Amino acid sequence: MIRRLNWRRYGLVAATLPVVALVFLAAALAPVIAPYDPFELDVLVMLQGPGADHLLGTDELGRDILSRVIHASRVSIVVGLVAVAIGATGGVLIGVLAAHFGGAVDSVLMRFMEIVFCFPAILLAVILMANLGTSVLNAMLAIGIIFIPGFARLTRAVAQTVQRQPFLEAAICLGVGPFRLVTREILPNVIGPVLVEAAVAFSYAVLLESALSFLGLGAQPPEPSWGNMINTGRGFIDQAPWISLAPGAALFVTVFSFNLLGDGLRDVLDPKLHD
Amino acid sequence: MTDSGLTPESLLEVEDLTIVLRHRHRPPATIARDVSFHVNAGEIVGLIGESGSGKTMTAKSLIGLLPDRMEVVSGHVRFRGRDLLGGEDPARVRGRDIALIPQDALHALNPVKTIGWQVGEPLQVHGGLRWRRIATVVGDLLERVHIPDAKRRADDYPHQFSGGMQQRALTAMALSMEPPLILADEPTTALDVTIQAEIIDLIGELRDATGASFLFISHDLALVSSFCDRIYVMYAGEIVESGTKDAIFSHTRHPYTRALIGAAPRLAGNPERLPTIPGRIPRPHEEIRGCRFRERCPRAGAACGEAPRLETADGDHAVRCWYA
Repeated sequence: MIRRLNWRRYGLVAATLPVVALVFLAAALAPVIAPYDPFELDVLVMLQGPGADHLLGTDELGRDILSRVIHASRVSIVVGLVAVAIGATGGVLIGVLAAHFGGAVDSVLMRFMEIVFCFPAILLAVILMANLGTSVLNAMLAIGIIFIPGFARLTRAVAQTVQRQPFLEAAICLGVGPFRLVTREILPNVIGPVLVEAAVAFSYAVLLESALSFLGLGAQPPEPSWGNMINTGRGFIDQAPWISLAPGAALFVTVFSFNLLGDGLRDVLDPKLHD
Repeated sequence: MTDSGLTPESLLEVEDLTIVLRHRHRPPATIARDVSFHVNAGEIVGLIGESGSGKTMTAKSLIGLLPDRMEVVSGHVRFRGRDLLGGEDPARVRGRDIALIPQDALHALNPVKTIGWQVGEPLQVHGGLRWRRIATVVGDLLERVHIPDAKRRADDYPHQFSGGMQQRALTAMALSMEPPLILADEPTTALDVTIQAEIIDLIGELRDATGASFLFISHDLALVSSFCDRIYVMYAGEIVESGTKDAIFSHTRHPYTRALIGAAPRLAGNPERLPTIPGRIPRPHEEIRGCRFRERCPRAGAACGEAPRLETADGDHAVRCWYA
């Protein structure tokens, strides 16, 4: 059925989705669209400002910054996706279990989640990374673990209100079994809020990964990542600000559009806002 | 109109059903005591009583949906000759043999699923039909409950439906597996009066069309009087009077039934205040000697210190009162 696009409902998503798609496309096609090899050193052109040859300039080793920014998006996207997947899967599972069983199971699970919640996210990530060792894989894991309590809390809250609803009893009355009850009746009610949370968590994961890389805990040079690029640029901030500015701008645009996408998704996924 | 005497085929027989509420610190409270009733094929039977009289729990016990601490301690439920309390998994009965139309229409529908999906869910669970076939059946079901433009409205979400239409959709859900018995738990309570009348008409119409029986649970005797074949009046967990609609209305025997009829608003006469029944219904855990209605009864006498039995007065008409 074709309906006229409802801007109040789909506007935010329609505006941010192209940006998000562009970031994903850049990550997917990095080797094809990047004008230079991101690892190629060229000391003749080091610390060159933006120009015709190097659109965003070069860094202290003469590498093309645009190419490195494009390649770095792969790290950010992969870390974001995997971390959110870990956080959402773990969190939804724990949240549904806590809401479904209640009582002691609920208390133990949620108190444990609250303990994890107590640590500042970046500190927890640093602690985890210190123990797991510094690598992109461990960064994903650490960030994913940090996300679990947020998703668990959200899921539990939604699942609890859903569980009290008479429509579950109505479904049971019509012969719906317990497994189908959770997967087809409860989870669809949870998925909307979780998806919104996931979009926001994704932008936060990108930010955290950059912070970890900035601190030297995430992607290791020469592997490009927005965080370690900003860190490298720090030393040349008055001679060559573009080294930090370019990845900083990429980070900003990505995080900002994912946050807006999260807001937009909330409008789309809530059937009550449907006209 | 199906006369109970003409179709003796009994679909559901409930015999001496007793439900208790277990309590940690107190002795168990009796929710329903020795409740017996039957529903014949194609019959609409009313189960009437105040809030807290045990009518909903009686209905829920039939499909094994009593809350955690409640339990059936004695009695038999026979459905088409099968013993529902004797070990059979009640989940197998739900939807296919006995369906329930719940009370609160808005909250009884899942807000994130379309009406069509929900009406078709029992078909998916039980039927194993292809989705395209289910969509057709769902359209027919929604048409049958008079949802205008049914095929298109099946894609709507519950909040896009009015209260009356939500209740119709729930009725369609209950009908989807063509169960021989449908329990309607106060399906009209949340609706305004004109919509109530439409739902009542719909139930009568569906009975005639499908031959299904209905157990209609309500606190509203006047409402039930218009379309039920037989009526059971429940008070504090006991059936106090039962009989055909005419017997209950024209030859009322029990003082409680009489008070209920008296408390119903009427157009003619228009008294300043509606008569009420003084006092309140006893709580399930209260220990009561003798007749459970005695304290509120205008006709209570010496004999009421001993609990009356449900005695058959004439034909189908039974009453639990010493002075009836």
